[in-house]
Amino acid sequence: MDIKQKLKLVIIKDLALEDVSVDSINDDSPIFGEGGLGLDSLDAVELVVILQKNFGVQIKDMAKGREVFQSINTLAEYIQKNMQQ
Amino acid sequence: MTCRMAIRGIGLVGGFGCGTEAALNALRNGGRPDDFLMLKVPAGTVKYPVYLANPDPLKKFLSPSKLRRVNKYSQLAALAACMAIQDAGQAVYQHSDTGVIVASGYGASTTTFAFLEDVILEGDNFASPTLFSNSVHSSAASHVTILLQIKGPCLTVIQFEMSMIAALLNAQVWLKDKKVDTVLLGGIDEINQVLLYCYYNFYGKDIPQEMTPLNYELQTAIPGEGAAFMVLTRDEGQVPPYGYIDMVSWETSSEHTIPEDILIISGSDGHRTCGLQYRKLLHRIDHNNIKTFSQIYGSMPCGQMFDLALASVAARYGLIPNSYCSIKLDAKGNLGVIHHS
Amino acid sequence: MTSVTNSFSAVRITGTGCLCAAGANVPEIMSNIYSNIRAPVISERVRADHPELYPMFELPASAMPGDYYKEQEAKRCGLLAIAAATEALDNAGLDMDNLRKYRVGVCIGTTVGNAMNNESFYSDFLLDRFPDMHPIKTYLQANPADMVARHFNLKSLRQCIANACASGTVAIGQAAEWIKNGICDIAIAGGTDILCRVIYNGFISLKITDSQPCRPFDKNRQGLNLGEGAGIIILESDQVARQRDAQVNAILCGYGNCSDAYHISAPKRDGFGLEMAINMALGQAGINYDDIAFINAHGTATPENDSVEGILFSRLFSHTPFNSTKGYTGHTLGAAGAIEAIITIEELKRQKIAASIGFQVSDPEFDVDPVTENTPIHGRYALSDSVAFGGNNAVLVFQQGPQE
Repeated sequence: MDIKQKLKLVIIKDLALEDVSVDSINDDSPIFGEGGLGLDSLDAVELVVILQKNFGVQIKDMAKGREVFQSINTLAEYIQKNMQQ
Repeated sequence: MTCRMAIRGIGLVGGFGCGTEAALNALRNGGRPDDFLMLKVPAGTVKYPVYLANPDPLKKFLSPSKLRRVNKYSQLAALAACMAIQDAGQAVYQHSDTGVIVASGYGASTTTFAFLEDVILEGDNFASPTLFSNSVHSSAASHVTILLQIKGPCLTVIQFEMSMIAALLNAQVWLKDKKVDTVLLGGIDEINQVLLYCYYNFYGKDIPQEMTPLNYELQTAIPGEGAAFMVLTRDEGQVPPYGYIDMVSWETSSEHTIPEDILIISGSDGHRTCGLQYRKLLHRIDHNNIKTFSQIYGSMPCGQMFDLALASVAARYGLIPNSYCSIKLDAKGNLGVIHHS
Repeated sequence: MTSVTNSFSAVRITGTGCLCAAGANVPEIMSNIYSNIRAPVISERVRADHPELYPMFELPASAMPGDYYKEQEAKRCGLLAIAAATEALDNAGLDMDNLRKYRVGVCIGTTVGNAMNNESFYSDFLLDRFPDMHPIKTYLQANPADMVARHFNLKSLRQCIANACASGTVAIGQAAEWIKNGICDIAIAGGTDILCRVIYNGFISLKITDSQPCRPFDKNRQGLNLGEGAGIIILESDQVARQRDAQVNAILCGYGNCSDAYHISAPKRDGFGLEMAINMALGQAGINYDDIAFINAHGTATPENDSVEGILFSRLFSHTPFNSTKGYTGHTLGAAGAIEAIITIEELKRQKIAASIGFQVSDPEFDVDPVTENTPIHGRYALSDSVAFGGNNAVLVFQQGPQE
């Protein structure tokens, strides 16, 4: 399974986004805020733990988080670069 | 100090189902545990009858997307709160003239355990901030204010079996002082595996299949979970459908004001230690004048809220007189007394 | 909004007791904070596995009650509350003999004190090691309000308040309402909380802790430091206080409690709930914003909290000196509101507020700064506010006691 697919699945499952399907998440669209998946600051810190658990990557602080969490694409890129082998 | 409180609406969810219809049905036909849970013990597994509460009907009041991070503890509270407001026939409050008081014996322990589980099994770095935010006992009251958009004062009381008396005293004070015009007050408790484990260790391998709270010498408590909420106002305006709470009092088993000439709704819930205390306390009362409702919802620390809610529903529909006195003992000799008319 | 209480018959504060990282009792705490001393540490007791270490404000050994380490951890919140209550009752000139003459209520705020977060018990349970019931039995005996009532042989009503970070403030306000309505004659009210791994892990997961000593209201603030301790005040009606000829440390003349109805962990940016709570408290006290001589802010040093307060204070209290004393005590959660109430009372007595330690650089997001040195204040009224997770906002207004 590729990173983006896995990412979408774990986000839907671990953030309990029951009414969201994998296919409906556009790789380039913002995932935070009203226009995105409606995620907020609490989801952001939860996403940090989700990334650690599922991909072994760390986010040091939320300034980094804001950068990385723009979209599925930016997340996947970060994971690719930092994933522990 | 007295401030007579009018009960304008009731919402409740528990092993008997959800809402006053389900409650009335259970009052008429008797209640029994509705489910089973398995518990691992050294010798294998045992099957525990339990009174489980289902929060799913909350989705009729609020969209599921609003509930995605809301723990079951808070969902049960929100469900009972929504039903109480609907039952009172009032629109959801947007103003600061409503206060919320939540009482619980064990609080959000189920969520605390879920938080601990991640830390224990995966490590300190895998602690879930969502679970942590929800593991505080105040999470139910907070979610109720957020989901129902209530901006008045808010309070969570954690005092085991005396939680409801303390909560009601606070409500009386708020109404008397005109701090608010309405108090949305409720009790919630949840079942989890740790609770069952405690039952097993404290009360032994003889697992009761049915609660008989008036057989004081027997240990027949069956764990229950659920939430019961009321809409309370001052004694003003229209006659309330569920009567009045005339007096709320924190007493002791050695110094109390339990009347001998009206119906007593006894909080005894199948625990032998307290059962013997109830027997002693009520020995002068005609046993025809003593009723219990705990067999409808199970044993839980906030049980007195269910007693009050069920008795008020029963009184409304003529199953019991309007005048009654609800009592609740804890294991330390504290006694909560509520007079209703 | 409903009309505010017609008259909030002011409740007398006749005793205070407190212990926290800043000191083992009220005089020591005040001496240390006026000396602008603070000592956050990397804890030896509370350890967890994270890439960074976060300093905390631990109770010094000198502040720990005698039996502290003998008892199970679950009882420690209760023990701290008892220690603070002992100092407070002594300060109020009340011993067990004269307490017996009155109906005495107990109202204690806490978060850890009622949490069943015994990790080793739950770990054994989870891993099918079938732990024994001792930790559970301890938990059932460890409700801090029960422990205080038992210790002082009190039979009347008691309750633990769980309003997250506002618990201590709410417990004091609620107890005052009991007194005013004659539910009890005297109230032992406040808050207590201890440092533990669960809380440490929880706050780190929220990414709101600072790996440096905290910097309330500073432009570069990164988050809070946790702390522990207990604060208890003795409340009485004017009638009872006169009857006993009790000294009056201060008068509690206003209490506000309102909800943001917004988010489970983030405060509402416009400070709407906090503003309402402030207005409620001022209304009860019968005073205006300008009558407040100083404010003890919630000031946790998280970016979000301090923005909300900074912006609100800029609008409502643009000339009012304020500090956050969490720079000296850490964020003591359920105890915070009570410890800060006591510091406020003491500062009001002395007409001087301590420097808001940790602050250096102004945050351009708001127009006010906390005081950077010990500052004389002139006035009879002070305000202390608490902003809790889940959106509860609680405010107390104190009036200076009669001057000797």
